[in-house]
Amino acid sequence: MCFMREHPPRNVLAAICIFPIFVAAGVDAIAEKLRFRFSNLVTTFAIVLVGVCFLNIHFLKNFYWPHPETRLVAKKWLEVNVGQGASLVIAEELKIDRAVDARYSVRRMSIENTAAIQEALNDSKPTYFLVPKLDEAFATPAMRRSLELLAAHPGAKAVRSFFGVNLPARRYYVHFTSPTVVVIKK
Amino acid sequence: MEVGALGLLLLLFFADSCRFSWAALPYSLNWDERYTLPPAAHVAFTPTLEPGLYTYPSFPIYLAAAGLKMGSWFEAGSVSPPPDTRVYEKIYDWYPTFTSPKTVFGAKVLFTLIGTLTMLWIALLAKRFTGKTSSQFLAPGVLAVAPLFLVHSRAYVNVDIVGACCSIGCLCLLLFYERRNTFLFRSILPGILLGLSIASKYQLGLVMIPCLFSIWLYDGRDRMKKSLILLAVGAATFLVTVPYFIINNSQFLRGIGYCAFNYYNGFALHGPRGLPQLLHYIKGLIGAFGVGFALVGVVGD
Repeated sequence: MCFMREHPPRNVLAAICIFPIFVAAGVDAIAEKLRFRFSNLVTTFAIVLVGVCFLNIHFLKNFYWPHPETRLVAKKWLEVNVGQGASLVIAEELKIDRAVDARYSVRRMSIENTAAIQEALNDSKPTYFLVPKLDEAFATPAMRRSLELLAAHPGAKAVRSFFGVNLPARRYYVHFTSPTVVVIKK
Repeated sequence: MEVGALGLLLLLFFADSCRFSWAALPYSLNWDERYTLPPAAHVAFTPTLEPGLYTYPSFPIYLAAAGLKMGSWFEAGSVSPPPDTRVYEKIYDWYPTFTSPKTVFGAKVLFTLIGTLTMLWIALLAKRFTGKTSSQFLAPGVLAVAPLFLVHSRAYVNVDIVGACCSIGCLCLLLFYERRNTFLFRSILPGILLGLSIASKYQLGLVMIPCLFSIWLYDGRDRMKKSLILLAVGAATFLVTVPYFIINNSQFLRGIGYCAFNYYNGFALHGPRGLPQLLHYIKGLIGAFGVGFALVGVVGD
């Protein structure tokens, strides 16, 4: 899920797009001032290098070399490690592609529905639970309670977590690699 | 040589954006896509052409619908696939998980192309402003590291990138043909781009100011006539691209009212009106380019 914690100033996107023209003009003006000492190419290169140093490369990496979508990775893992027809409980909040329904016996329920989670836990069949790793800022008490129930169940253990890149989401507005899927086997 | 290098740079950006979009499918990367793709699917795969949403104008929704239609041909493997109303349900009901990824990819490719076109306008404008070939590469290069631009040009189908493309395209046209004092270059073409800008994002009506300036400051003849034609062409373009605002005017006015209320109140998510709001935008600018490039930009300004 892509949570937005800080709203981007997208209503001024056109103005933001124009700003690099001023950057180019600024580089040009600085290069002109320093012409007596350095060539234009050297000054331009130096300014670009300094500018790049102030960028958050870690964040940019997510646009050019993105971490694979964790739900796709989780689906592939299930196909390899969980046999056809197995019982799967999927948290609705994950919005996992319904294509998995054809291969497994799937029950979808909200992670907030503690009673339904409890009922699935009481089921005698071995079951895999696909639940999101909760984001503390958005987790409701009911969500926390459901996950505590899963963790406290004697036969349950987390078998695999698909972690995304943990972006400092408070600063950046798009949480790309969420949701992080946790597979719990009962 | 220069043109070829710029073309190659843009082509690489476009190809990489398409790869990025495809990699996340069938999942949506942004909640706000619910305002564009489901209404676009409604237009593309049901008999009605009414998007039923006026918080945003209809032009980007129609563009997304055209993209979805192309994507559905790609998915079906032919230009005239048998009518499949389930495609609409798959996009509308199952959002934010698209069970027709190839169909959705059609819309994403189209919007990525619009983002790349915006980059081209910036390259052309930078060269025009500084007269240096290096600026033609530097400006789009700097734009390509701005997260706000990257989010809007490759992560999701949104109205903002269409508005930015049309409004910057309009400025590009005005600057490149500043000496052509004809009705075509002063009123008709800028009028069409003005109309498309407003039909993408209501507040981009501000593009009208540079259009009128180009007539009143740089053109000696028929100023009033050219201004009126500009406004008439703009209004006609808006009418063609947001046709349902006449039929469903109560919803349209409600949408406009919502936007006006939102902006008047300082757009709740941006903080209170006044100085905090201004600081939010300054922070957004620095966040977009980093302190280094932001300072150099201020020097260039």
